[in-house]
Amino acid sequence: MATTLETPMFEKPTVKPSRWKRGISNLAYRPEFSVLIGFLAIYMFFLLTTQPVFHSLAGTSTWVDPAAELGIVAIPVGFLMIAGEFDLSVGSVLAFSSMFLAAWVGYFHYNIWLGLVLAFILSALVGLINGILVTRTRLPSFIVTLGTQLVLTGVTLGGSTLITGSSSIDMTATAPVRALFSSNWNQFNVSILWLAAIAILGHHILTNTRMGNWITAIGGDIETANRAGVLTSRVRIGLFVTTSLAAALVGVIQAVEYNGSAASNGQVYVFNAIIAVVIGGILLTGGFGTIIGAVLGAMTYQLVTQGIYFTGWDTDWSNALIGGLLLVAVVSNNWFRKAAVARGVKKGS
Amino acid sequence: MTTIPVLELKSVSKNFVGVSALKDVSLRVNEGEVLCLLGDNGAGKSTLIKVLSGVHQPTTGDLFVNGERHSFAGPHEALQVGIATVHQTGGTVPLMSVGRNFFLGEEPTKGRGIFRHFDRKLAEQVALEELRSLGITNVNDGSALVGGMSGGERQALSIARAMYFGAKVLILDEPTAALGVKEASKVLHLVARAQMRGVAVVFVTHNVHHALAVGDHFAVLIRGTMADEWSKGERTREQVLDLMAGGEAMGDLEDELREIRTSGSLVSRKVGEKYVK
Amino acid sequence: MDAAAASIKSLGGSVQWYGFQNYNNFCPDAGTLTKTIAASNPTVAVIPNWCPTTQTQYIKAMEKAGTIVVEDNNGATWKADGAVTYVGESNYAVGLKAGSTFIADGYKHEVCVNTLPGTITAEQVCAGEKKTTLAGGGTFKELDLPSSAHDNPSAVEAAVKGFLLSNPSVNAVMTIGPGDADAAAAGIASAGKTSSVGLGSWDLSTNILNRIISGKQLFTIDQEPYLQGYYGVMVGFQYAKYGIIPSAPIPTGPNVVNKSNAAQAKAGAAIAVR
Ligand SMILES: Nc1ncnc2c1ncn2[C@@H]1O[C@H](COP(=O)(O)OP(=O)(O)O)[C@@H](O)[C@H]1O
Ligand SMILES: [Mg+2]
Repeated sequence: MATTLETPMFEKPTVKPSRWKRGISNLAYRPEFSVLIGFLAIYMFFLLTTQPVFHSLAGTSTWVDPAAELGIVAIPVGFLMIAGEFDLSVGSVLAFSSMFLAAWVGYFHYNIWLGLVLAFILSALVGLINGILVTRTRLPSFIVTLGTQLVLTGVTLGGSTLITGSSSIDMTATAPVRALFSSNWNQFNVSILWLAAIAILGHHILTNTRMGNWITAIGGDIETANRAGVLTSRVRIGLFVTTSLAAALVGVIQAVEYNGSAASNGQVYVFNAIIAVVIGGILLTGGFGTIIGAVLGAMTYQLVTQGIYFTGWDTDWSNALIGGLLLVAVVSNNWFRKAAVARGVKKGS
Repeated sequence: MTTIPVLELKSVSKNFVGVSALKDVSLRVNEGEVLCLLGDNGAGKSTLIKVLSGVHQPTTGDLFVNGERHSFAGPHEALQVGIATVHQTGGTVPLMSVGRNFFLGEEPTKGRGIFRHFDRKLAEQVALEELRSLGITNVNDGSALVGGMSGGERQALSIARAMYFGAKVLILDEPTAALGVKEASKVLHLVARAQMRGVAVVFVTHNVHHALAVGDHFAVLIRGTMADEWSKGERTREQVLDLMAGGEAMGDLEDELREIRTSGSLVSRKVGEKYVK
Repeated sequence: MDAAAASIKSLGGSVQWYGFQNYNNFCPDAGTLTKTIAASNPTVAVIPNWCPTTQTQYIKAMEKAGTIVVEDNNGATWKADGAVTYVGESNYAVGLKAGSTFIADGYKHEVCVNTLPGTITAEQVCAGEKKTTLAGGGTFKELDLPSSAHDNPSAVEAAVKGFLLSNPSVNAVMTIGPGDADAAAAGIASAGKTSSVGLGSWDLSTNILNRIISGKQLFTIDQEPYLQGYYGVMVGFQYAKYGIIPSAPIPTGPNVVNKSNAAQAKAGAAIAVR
């Protein structure tokens, strides 16, 4: 700050550093950079402490597959967090969509494609309700979505026991549906392709479109965004709908892959998605973060969870490790963000 | 004397439930002029600005833009006819880049259909050029985050932005209130530049010195009514200061303070000494 | 449960059903649920005692208030608790049976996947399996997953796969519930070991029976929950009304369902008897 105060009002533009140098320093100040470093460090750590099978294709798939499913939910949760909102209802939407599909196919024996379409539509409706409630009531989304989360959890469990007499339902998917949602290539699950598609699209939207600019501005300063003409309510409603759709996608993937579902499924995604995006450098209070970071966060989370099984240590400790990782990540991401902000001043003088 | 004011209020009142925030206020501002709006806290300055910028509708009275009567349904409509407001706080998003802030809500795009995307390079380049044209040469990276800029530079960004998007009237709500001396003088420079470009400026402040430095016309609000109005040179600094402080009230205060000092009812102590009765 | 409720109704009584919201906070929730049941002051309570530390005090309190308690499903402490009888199996017996079944079928290197570490139910199953496995000359390991994995099949799948890859000698996987069994089956399959690794589970489900019939799962252990609920309610009611009671405890299961009898089990499951 002091440097700016002392610079004269009319100053000749300083010579820009070379393109190459700028490229390097820009990379280092990108929010996902520290996340990538952390991820690589943890990977190296497991390389040294586990058996070689860990980095075989099969071993790699044990953390990449669940990371894909977590990432699919984490990306829109990250978008919402960048826009300054939370969605705690992803767990119940996941459970609802998979239970709905399982009941539709496994209990009623209706057409599976129609069931898929309905599962997505009904889930999107939950997102719509979340979005409308949050923007209309101006209550914190944390509370609003906690409410819908509980309501939908109850409706799913109650509805399932009322209709099918059980809180878990088995189903079998047809071959094309399996191909779409749970086929395997070598060791890897098709959910990785879903993640890749969503990540590329998400990254593009956040960095290269007007919508991305609006989302960041809403989370950074909603008043300013409003005054600049951004339709802040509509954008946020759209994000809530997208988040519900993503949770429904994972619900469907799981129902197809594991031939059914249980009403209690999915709840872990509520906090795992938040943990993943925070590890991934998205600011908990909004306005800052990247999609690459969110994906790396999901991968880091699952790398740690799964890596432990290969070390042969007592797996009871895995949560302690995740918690420590979360704290370290938050501190280092904070530091990097401040450095990125300060850079603007330093470069100018 | 036939110039049509860019913006004019004719006997505007604004009542909130139980409060009448503006009472029969009239004012006008011409192209290339700076109207300084002075007033104590709670005098109704922000309310007046909100009426001008379309946030509030007047309870009674009329608003004219270039001689035409207007009634704004919201800030959007005011913006459309070229009335832009820069607020003391906000106006920029700290964790977004200069280029992104500059074009927020009006992002330039390249390509068509699904290939349509935000033209970041152009945004950053234009933002820097516009800042430079207002004399802010200290910022030379359009991708730098605004949070790293000084308060004055941020105000400059908001002002540059408003002018780039064709503001004919620029309303500045206490732009210097949170700034140090040097930063404030930067903003005053900007006001002068905007004025030179033919923009009508409504400059709200309670700093008399800042007002006198840039103002062409002055208006003082006291408890919702227009207490005084004058043009440059018609009042001395002392008169203005007195008026701002509530005139007689200030005189009374000075008398009271003098009395206290002479009567010695306050125990004086040197710095560092303990307070003893 | 419905059949028992219908019989009770025909005899002039009524049945109220209590259940859990989730299993994340199992023992404290079990205590609270027991307290709730005690507060409703029923004539007869049919209740598993999963967590004696949190439940027993309320079971005793309702007995004091005149409620006849029948323990079902889980009741190692039924006598001490003052229950009139116990209908069910012991979890430990399930584990014993699982271990001996694996050994008898030639699967000697076993892992017990525990998705509810810290709860006595799961620990007893694993402990029972360990005993018969080691006695039969096999090896035994326990894979504890964080309790969050219990409701997340992907996590269970990945953990089982990872475990099998890093412990290539293990050729038998025991799970403690149908959901875990489905996920473990997927984990075994994606490790490419469906043909070499035997899967055992506890309780029945359509998926489990289908896998057994198609040779992708070795067995499951049926604790005959239908009988537990049915007998529990009937015995309690008849004791309260007429004072008649079969000799206690009343064992159900553990009954091994494998390829030889899976079709019959499936027919029973279709009418919700199994
Ligand atoms: N939305 C509102 N509702 C009710 N009273 C208001 C509202 N906005 C302002 N007021 C009242 O109007 C008066 C003038 O306020 P304001 O315009 O903010 O003054 P200033 O900006 O000069 O400090 C104050 O008494 C304030 O309490
Ligand atoms: Mg004000």
